[in-house]
Amino acid sequence: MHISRRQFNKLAMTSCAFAAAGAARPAFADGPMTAQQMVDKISTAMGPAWNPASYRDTFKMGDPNTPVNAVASCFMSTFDVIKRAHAKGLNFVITHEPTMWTDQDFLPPVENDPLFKLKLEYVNDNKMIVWRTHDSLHKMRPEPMITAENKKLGWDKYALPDDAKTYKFPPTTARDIVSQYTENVPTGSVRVIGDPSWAVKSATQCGHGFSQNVEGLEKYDATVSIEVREWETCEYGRDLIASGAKKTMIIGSHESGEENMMKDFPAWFQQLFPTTHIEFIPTTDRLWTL
Amino acid sequence: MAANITASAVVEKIRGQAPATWMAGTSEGFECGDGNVNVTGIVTVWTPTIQSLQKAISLKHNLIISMEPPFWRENGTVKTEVSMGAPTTKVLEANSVYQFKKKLIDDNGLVVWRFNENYKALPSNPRLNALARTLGYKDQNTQATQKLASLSAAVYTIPEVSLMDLAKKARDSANAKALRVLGEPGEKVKSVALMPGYVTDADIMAMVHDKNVDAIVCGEACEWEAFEYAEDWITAGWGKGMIMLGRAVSEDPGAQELATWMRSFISDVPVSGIAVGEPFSYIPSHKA
Repeated sequence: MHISRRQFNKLAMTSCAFAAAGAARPAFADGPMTAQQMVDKISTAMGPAWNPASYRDTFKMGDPNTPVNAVASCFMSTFDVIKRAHAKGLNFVITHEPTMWTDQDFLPPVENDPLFKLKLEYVNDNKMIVWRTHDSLHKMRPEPMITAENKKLGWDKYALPDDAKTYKFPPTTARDIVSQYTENVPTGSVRVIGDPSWAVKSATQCGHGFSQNVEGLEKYDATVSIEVREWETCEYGRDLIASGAKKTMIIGSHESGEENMMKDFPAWFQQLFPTTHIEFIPTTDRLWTL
Repeated sequence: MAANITASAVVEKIRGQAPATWMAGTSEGFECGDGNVNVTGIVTVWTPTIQSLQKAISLKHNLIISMEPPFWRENGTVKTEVSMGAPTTKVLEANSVYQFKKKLIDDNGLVVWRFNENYKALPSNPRLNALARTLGYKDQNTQATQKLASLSAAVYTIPEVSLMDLAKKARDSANAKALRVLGEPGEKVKSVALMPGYVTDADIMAMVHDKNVDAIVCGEACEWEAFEYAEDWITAGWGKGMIMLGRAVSEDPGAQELATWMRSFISDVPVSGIAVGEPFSYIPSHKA
């Protein structure tokens, strides 16, 4: 069955039209706020970081006019996270990453997928709402992801004053930097390109981008990346070393390298909504190696 | 070498072996060097790493047939790979690794021909079959696989094994020391969807739709796309696990098989398949 984009969005967010009408309707003075009302307040508080045109920072599942009982903040609204949020009575899930397995979320052929239908049904049946906050969070200053990662890694003290994602270390080895990383990052998945004995005096966080990694590896001894494409970034790294450079690439997992920001999110949220209960639900990537 | 065959003639011979499936308008073509060069020997490889080029030079083979382009980015309009943002040509050409590799290719007169979409479409399906053979998966479930003609992927029935043992066997047989696994190690697996290379969530949806698959064994999956789909698929109780072998080790058997296949119709010059192995140097053992 062909479903148009418009019908599909309607299916995913059971009452889009209702959401639009609801925005004009005043909240009951003493009733709980709706998810839409909370997002309105969040976006106002985000100020210049808020981009109303972002396709990422939108409602993904559920009816935005649902009254919020309590909130879950998470890195990724996996089915497991949604279930754990529900078990704790948290019906509004605020996620940093997608719900329907692509950055765009509503991308064919997802509308006919049984797992999508199961997840959507679970959210709707339990009167839950899922909203994503991605672009706006990364635009806030200081940037919350790097702030949280530096705190977690204990690398605040090494961060450059004008570039918090770049570090100058007391001279040490790659082995030492890698163990500082793995000791503080909760994942079974850290892969390294380079020799443990090589000297490391500087490093920078490069995220997902191939060009960021190329630039980082040109300037510094080591890079920390999360979720890169192997055919470009990892193969560049291999060739870099084959060309004679003594550089180290630490490749972590997406969740473990980024989720701490959502652990910090409740404190920020609580300033806006002091009486609403909010909890961080860890996504936990559950990866293991042999 | 007394042989006298040009790089273009080698490409024509390959094309002649697969006339029914051959497609135009692909990403394929000469990435370095020129089709008029006389071929002294052929290397087939997944991605032309510096080390594999050095090996080719030591073998005195000057034609490199690879699935990936040599400078880690697709320059043409047809893209077959997912990129997370390549540097500009200007930045790349100023880069020391680019210059090192370019000089190695130029100084040794190497010719690099990219073979991708038509390689994946070869009726003998070396990409899938060679990986299955490496991993010891024999019984293809043709009914489950039939619908997936567009993917170089298939469902295999295997003697029941734990996810842990399936992963160990994959590590040992494919030399995939950096493989990563999702799912409970003790879960029992009887059917495997084998998917070499990078997989999208739509690929996985197509493979597991009938709920007849216990585990996915793939090369690489994006950790907000196919990886997350597998995570939810396991949470739903429909699947038991996913093993990500690593992109390179999932492609190596196919690239070597390509050499074997080419030797059946090219006798003018030697053809050698090269495995690049995984790019990762080590995995710091760590449990949270």
